[in-house]
Amino acid sequence: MDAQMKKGLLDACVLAVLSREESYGYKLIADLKDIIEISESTLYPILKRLEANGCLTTVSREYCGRMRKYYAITKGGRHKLIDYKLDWVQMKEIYGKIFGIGD
Amino acid sequence: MKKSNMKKSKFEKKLFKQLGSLPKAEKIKIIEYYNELYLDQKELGRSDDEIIAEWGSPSDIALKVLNEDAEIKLSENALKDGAELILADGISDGGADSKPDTDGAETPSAKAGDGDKRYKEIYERFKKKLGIGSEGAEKMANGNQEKQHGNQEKQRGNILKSKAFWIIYFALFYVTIPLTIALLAVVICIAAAVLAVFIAIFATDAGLIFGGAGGIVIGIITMFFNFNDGLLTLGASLIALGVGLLGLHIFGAVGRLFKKRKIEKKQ
Repeated sequence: MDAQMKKGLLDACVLAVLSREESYGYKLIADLKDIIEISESTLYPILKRLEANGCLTTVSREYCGRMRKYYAITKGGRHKLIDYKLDWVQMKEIYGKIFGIGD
Repeated sequence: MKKSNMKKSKFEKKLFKQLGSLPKAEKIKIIEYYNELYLDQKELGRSDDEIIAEWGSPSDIALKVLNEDAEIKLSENALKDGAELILADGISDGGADSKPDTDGAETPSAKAGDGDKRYKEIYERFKKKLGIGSEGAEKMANGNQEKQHGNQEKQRGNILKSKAFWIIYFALFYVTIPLTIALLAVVICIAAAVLAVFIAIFATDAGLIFGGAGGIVIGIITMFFNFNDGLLTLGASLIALGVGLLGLHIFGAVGRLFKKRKIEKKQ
């Protein structure tokens, strides 16, 4: 898959996973690996960017005597996810017209 | 256990070092992120070797993080540039004004001009996303102006670094060198004057403190010979000492304030 296209997809994938339930680093990677190829070093900048854009929020909670960071989707993140879904519909239409697929 | 902890801490130190250009707070966040991943995987019974091997080398991780950061910034700029290109090509106008591709293929704009409303709607939406349109175009124009201004600033900086500038500077020896010396002299004089003021204030304060302290001793002794004179001396000395100590306190407070601001700036 094209690297640039994959980057755009990763944001959508992270938000989609977090829309089901809040999650933490390792679990997020494990869930995402079922959908798309991703590494620990790839995930970090995505989380950072999404947090900076207000699409997700973080909270530290105690877990087995240590603090663990949990990521949760925000209202802005859910709106962004809807945008991604709409983009997918439009892209599907454009690709369909370009390559004569579908309809 | 000790060996595995050292391995992990060695990894973290290397990673911290490799993330050189990032701010310290950001580097700490990344280390904390990996530390959490490490602890989660240790709970699942994985060994340090397995965990760290999966992550890859610290230099590769750092490179990826830094590249991702740079690419995000680049792609934001590229998106704007791409939108400019689309505007320049006239694709956004659509219809009769648009030029076909050189190979004669139908352009999307021609498609829009043919009255494909749905297709046009899709393109309008993409245009909105890319920031094209009156608002978007204005934003880009302002952005370009800022870019040009930035480039001009860069050019000025580069002039000073160019050899030609210095050749001309020394060629006009009889004018430039004396002028430079005169300007330097003015700067040094102003700096010396400011320093002299600070020294004078400090010396006055020191004089008041020591003079006041000495005056108190003399005042007490004088009181045994001439009570009124001694009392007057004592009173004046106490006032001088008080003013001197107040001045010292103010100096200390100002010094602490500057130190605090310096620490805040560093952070």
